[in-house]
Amino acid sequence: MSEEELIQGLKARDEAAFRWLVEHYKDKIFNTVLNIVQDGDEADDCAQEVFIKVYESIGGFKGESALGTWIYRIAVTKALDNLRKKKTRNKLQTLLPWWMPEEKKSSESSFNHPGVLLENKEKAATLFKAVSSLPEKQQTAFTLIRIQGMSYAEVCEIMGQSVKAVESLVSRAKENLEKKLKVKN
Amino acid sequence: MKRNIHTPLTDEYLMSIEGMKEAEASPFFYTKLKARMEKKTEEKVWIFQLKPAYIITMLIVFLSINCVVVINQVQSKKAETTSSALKSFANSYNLTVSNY
Repeated sequence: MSEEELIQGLKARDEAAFRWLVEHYKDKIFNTVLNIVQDGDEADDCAQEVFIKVYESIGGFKGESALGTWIYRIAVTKALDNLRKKKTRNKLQTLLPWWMPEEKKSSESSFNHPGVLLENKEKAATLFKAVSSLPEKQQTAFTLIRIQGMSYAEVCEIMGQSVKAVESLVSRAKENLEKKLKVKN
Repeated sequence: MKRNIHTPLTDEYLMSIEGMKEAEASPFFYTKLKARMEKKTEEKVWIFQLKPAYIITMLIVFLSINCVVVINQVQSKKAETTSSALKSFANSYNLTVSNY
């Protein structure tokens, strides 16, 4: 199915087109969201929200960027929203522990990416934890480029930033990570 | 700006995710997504029914029914009072009261 046909199908609310889109992008979107939110269940929930948003907003898609880039942009926005909510929840838990006592604090639990080799799990978990404490933009740029392996050009499109700005974000992220990892060692 | 910064520790930790496999979404992802979308549509129908226009219309209908019931009750009480007063007046003078 060509991108043009897919977009037309989605705009016409064609279920086959929507199914094709979900099947084609679900792993990529799940992976992107998972690397940012660092929680399997929340990533699953968030990835679903991404496709719902795509279905609802496709009418407003003007084709200024590739469909994939547009979907990734929604995924990153949703993942960051999710992360903000999670941080607020954690703050509330710290302030009012009797209010939400059952929920596990995400800052206390470490994230184990399912795709990491067993012998590297511990180091990877430390890295993911350090990445999660970076400022939002640095975290996004670093995750998409260094963890997910996307190109600078793709990330610039997704984040709506220039190449120089993204390069700077990744450099600062690395500097900050170096400091955080030194403290841990 | 791309700077050549020395970050040996970060590079070492980055090695731990070299060759990391992509995580896969649940095999039932599409089914769960469709179920969620259908649920959302049903909720939307309910939200539509709770729109102010609907609530105001329902309130007006409810108040109108109440008014009709109250007016009917007041009228029947008035009629009862008039006929009973007339009957007692007629009785005291040994007269008969016609309903016509």
